[in-house]
Amino acid sequence: MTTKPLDAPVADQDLKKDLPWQVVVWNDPVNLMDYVVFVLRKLFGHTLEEATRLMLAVHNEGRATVNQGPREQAEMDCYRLHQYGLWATVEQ
Amino acid sequence: MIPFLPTPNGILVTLEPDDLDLLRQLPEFLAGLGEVGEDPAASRLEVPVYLDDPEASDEWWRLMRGELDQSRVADRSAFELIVEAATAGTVASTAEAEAFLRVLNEARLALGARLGVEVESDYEELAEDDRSALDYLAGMQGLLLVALTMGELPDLDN
Repeated sequence: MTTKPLDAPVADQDLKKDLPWQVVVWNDPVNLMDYVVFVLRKLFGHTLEEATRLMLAVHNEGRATVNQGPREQAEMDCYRLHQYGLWATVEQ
Repeated sequence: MIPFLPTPNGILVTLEPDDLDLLRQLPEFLAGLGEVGEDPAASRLEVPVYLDDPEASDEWWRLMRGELDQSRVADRSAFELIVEAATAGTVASTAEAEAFLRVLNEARLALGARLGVEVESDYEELAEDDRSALDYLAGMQGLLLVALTMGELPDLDN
């Protein structure tokens, strides 16, 4: 009987490399709810329902992931959100 | 008079003298903000981008600060042109109207930060004049948002 050799263990760091980068918008006491919905629709093409759901998550839970992808794209999304004054961060 | 009205060619902006007096001050206010770390308004407009990695955050800002500043300056120029033409009524393209919207928002963020609004309940503690300045800008922003989204059909795909 032959046994298939076990795969080499994969370090956590290698697994993390493949995870997408998250663009997170944080709650802010000044930005208007309608404005946040407008910006999310404008920048990411979300439907009114999806943009409203994300805005409410930001408002009620303090933060929401509004997009994800490769690091460069997440950083560019973050730039565009900052242009509109939304408090956006990048994380993996 | 309704300050922002959608037209087939863009947003018709018509401002009263009182609006002009107030709005004219915004570009100068924003151009004159202090240093990040010293002026809360400047700090609000340059928040960390990587919360768990200050080095990556600094690097992001080093690469993007110039471009973002340029974009904000261009928005303020568009804002000034619209304000100066708005006594008689002027039609702003959608892109120009969005620049106007961003300046209104930036001014509210900067003013809110200067006034120490960090959580929603802080808003209730503001002096009446300060609160009405923020409310006035929010009102303008809301009217412009309505004009920008008024022509849209509801989503029909669900």
